[in-house]
Amino acid sequence: MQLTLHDLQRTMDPWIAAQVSNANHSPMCRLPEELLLNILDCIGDDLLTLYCLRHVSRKFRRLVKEPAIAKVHIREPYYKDVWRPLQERLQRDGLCAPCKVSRQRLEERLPVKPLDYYKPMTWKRCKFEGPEHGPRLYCHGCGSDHDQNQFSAREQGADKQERICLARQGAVQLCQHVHIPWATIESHISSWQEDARRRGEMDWETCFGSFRVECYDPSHDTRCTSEGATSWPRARLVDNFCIPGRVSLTLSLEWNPHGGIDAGTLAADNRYRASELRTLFAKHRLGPASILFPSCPSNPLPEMACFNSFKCTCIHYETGDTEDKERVQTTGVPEPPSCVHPSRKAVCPHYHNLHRWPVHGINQEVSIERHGLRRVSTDESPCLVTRYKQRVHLWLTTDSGNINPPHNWLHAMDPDTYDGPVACHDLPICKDKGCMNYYRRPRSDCAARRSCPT
Amino acid sequence: MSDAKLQKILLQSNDGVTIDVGKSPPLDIGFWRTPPSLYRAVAERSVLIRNMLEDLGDEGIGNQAIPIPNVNEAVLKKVIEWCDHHRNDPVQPADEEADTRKKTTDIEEWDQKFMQVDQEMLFEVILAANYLDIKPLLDVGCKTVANMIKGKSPEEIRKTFNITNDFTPEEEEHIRRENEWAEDR
Repeated sequence: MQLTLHDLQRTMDPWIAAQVSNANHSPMCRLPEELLLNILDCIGDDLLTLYCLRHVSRKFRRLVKEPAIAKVHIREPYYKDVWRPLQERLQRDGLCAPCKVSRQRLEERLPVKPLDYYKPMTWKRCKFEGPEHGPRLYCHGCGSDHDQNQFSAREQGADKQERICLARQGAVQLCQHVHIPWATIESHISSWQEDARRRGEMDWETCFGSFRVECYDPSHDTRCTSEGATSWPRARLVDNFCIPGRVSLTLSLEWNPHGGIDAGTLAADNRYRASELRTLFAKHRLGPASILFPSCPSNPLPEMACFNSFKCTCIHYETGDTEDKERVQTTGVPEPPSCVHPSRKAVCPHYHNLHRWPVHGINQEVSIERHGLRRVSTDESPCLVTRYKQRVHLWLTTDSGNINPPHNWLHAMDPDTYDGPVACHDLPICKDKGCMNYYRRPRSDCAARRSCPT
Repeated sequence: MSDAKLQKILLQSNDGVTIDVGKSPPLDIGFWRTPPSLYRAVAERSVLIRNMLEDLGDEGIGNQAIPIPNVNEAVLKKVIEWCDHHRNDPVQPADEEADTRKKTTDIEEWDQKFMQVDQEMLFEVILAANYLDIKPLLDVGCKTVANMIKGKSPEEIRKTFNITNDFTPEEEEHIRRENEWAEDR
């Protein structure tokens, strides 16, 4: 009797179990590739279906890329007549039930669709950006006008005397315990500027270097030895460059938790066990990791992406005792690894990191390094340090003598710290973590950031 | 027509069952039965069997069953049923067949009903058509599967064909980026 996926996962790694399950339980996956290519050939130039097939499984992702099939390559659907039908298909999978209802109502409510309706999200109007030629309101904090959507409903009132924008109402989150409002950065820079005026010279580098926010909550203490330094979650300002009237700097949020020497044991082949790494990263995700490097439902432990599954030889995947393991591919390099164990001099040629690079705005990075401990015997596992970083690029403008938050700041803020605007097309904000519209997931790019500095 | 042409064709499935091409369902149903002169036409829809018959010669076969080691009884009967229905179809040149396949996923009504079977049987028929080298049947099978895929989202395709998401975490990151444009936030 063939084992179910659930049964397989008891004895083997979930990733291996998924491959074995496909080989055993899916008659389609058992077809030889030449026949699968025949089937894909019949799909012809149906771009939507080919795009969806790319997201079904590893085998189909590879086959759709075959030259015979990918006559029209669609990495991203830039064709106008494909956008909305494809979005509708992807949303069938990704939206939660209430969002599906809201989307349906939107379709019925808008007989004439707005200009950006058929555009991909990154080209759509940002939720902080008001309608074109829409009203702009004066912010007393910034001393300048902003789009109406940059104010909470309460602040938008016509009779409001001292109106403050969302950027000054909200805050960027460092960890579960610490938020950094714009006022913290503003007051730090202001006091330095005041000092500089007295000295007759403004030293930006020292100004930024002296900015330090840390959280000393005991839950963040992950030292692997008592004599080691604790790496608390911290926020720093990093100087980029200055031009007259504007300063470019980066707010860097970091947390470097240690795995500890007791976090796991190396497998017989000196590789890290995938199951133990997952346990370690899941533990980090209870802390600032989930804030600095958010996960998504389909990839709850993005840290695992630091290890290239087919090149890096650092990870040992449990393959169980069945003959099925012959049908799966775990690594393209059969040589036993020597990369992470401190007793070996050789290092893994692959740098274990993952970047999320937006065109503008908020960069996220996670990297994994071995922590060199003294007196480590060959039988001991080294401590692994995971470095989580989030960088918010800021253009400081000094309109009206004030130091004002740039547009990126709005997107970097914790949405729970301000009474924010609704999502695109007035759809309600979604608080379901499993939904593709989950409100806390930052947008990696926004058209407004390119055109609107504040 | 020589006596040899009227000879029955026997096929042996991988589970040891000998099937008389002239006696496979639905040909046994009712009073009508395939005349012996057509047995060969039915069997020769398969290029593999046709070549075998040509190589061995009519006398070489005698009353022996031709072994079909990759196909079981149920699937073999199903394939013979299709061959019998299409025994008079003109044989298309290979290039023309390929072009036709690319142009459309339309399937004849009889073939559509023929392919209304469980997935296990559908894919077995495709495998058998490939092994026996029956290009038109292989096309019908592939088009049927293509039509089952069309219009579905990735998750719906997975559910339909019992496929488990086996992407690596790196691939999941790529997919997340690829699909971010579809969000409404």
